Amino acid sequence: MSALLQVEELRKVYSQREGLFKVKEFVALDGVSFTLEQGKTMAIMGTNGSGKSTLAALISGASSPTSGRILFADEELQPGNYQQRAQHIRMIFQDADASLNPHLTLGRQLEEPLLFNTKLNARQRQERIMRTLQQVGLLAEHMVFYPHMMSTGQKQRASIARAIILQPKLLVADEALATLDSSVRAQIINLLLDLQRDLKMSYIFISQSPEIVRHMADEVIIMEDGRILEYGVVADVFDAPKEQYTEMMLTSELQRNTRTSSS
Amino acid sequence: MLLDIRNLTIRTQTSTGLVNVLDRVNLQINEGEIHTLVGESGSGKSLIARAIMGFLSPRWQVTADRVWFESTDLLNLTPQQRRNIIGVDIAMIFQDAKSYLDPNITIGEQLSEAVLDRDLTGSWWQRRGQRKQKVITLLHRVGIKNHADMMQSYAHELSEGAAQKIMIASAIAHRPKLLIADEPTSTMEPATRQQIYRLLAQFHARYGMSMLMISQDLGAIMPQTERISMIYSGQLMESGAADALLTRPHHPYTEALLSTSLYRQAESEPRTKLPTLAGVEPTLQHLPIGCRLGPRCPYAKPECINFPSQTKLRDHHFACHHPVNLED
Repeated sequence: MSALLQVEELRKVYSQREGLFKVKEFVALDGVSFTLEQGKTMAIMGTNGSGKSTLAALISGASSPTSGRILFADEELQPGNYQQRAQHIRMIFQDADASLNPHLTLGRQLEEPLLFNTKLNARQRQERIMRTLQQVGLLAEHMVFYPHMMSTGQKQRASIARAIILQPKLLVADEALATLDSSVRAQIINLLLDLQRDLKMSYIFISQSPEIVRHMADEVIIMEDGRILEYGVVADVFDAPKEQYTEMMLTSELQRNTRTSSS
Repeated sequence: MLLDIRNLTIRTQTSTGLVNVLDRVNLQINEGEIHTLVGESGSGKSLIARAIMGFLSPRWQVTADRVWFESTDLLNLTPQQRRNIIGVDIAMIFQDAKSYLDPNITIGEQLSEAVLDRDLTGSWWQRRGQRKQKVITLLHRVGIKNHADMMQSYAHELSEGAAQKIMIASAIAHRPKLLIADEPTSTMEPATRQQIYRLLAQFHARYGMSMLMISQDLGAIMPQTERISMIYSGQLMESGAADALLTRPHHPYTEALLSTSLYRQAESEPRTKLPTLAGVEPTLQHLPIGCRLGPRCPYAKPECINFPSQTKLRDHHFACHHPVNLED
């Protein structure tokens, strides 16, 4: 049994010219490797600038690694080969307002990935769109809606619909829950858990909230300055953090718990 | 009582007519109290802050029985009174600190603008020296040690936490009696958030300054909060002492928000479904009649089409026909 996603010694260096000959290098990722099984959730935590969004960009193909390789179902992912990636690896972003095109109706936006990646005819496309909208808890009527007509929660549902319409095997969520209201966030968490159970998707979940990670993820990676600091099963890492940095990431939760239990 | 708001109503014109965006909201803040206003996005909590500060444009019609700060009516300020109160006795900090800083001038120049002329004495060069000294003191007070570097830098060079500290520094320059903080930490990572909360708590302890904190998440409120008010879709649902409200809420909305908040679920089984309110918050064009929580409320009954009057139980106010957790 081989893993769905295998990341080996991934390294990303951003270089910037300074003056005529000097090149300033910034190491965003330094030798990151991990494996992810099908149907599992991997959480990535870290402070700003720890390289977690760079990792997401490399996996989804938005930028190419300096060295190292990414194996997806035993096949090496080539930078720039979007046919290969777009089918199986999809992303959702933090800002649902900005990730939808304001000029297109939701139906058109959901149709585009189908046009580019599948050979379905018009009727099959319509059916697939309606089915996907139902899966994420929207109605068929929402096909004619423009993004500005929907609430934030509905927009995040719409961008999840756009992500899962090609029936991907891996969904990369970059802080997708951070700005949502707590009742909407609970709705979206329930939705993501349902979808994972039904479609056997794997998630890579980038988040700074220890509560969400504890609830959603099987394994967690704690990153600092482009390196993996801790990597393991969520309960193990959270209950017995090895590094001070990990403890710091978890303190906010602990403080709040002591407060609520003392009151 | 430092701030006394009774029946604050804010109306605006929408495509379906004149709408009460904020519906008869009461809010009282005592001297030296930290009060947190919690509501989801679009519930009107920022409108309250803006109404207090007088930032609202004329398309928002503000009416109230009273909006009193100490003994001044904030809705009818003369320009002279406004200069003496807003920004001096009442200061405000915002969510996106960086966008409230001027990108064109250095931090040192911006902070020296916050120092009032009337606090300085002597000839112009003496005043200049005093001004600089005051800015350095302010920076030290918010925990920035290398003031020389900071005064030379521009807003875009700062991290989010540092920018918020600069905002706090310029807000506390006149030792305000009331500090309004509109989601000051909601986009920050947890460690920075704790830092900012610690800093605010420090000023609260040192100067006895009252604070009105605005937050959209019950899970991320300031730990030192003494009172919490819950607002939903422009109506005040519940208000009470923080400990009582978090452990025994009387309003179904507070109960639902607490159960959706993940920090209460630490002991629950991972990957289980979270309890949550069904549906979405109503839009301004389609506000429900009576209690606006009605369509999403699990306890709703026909009488909920009338907005319930405030019930007062000791220090705990709530507006609901079917309060929960009442039996002792």
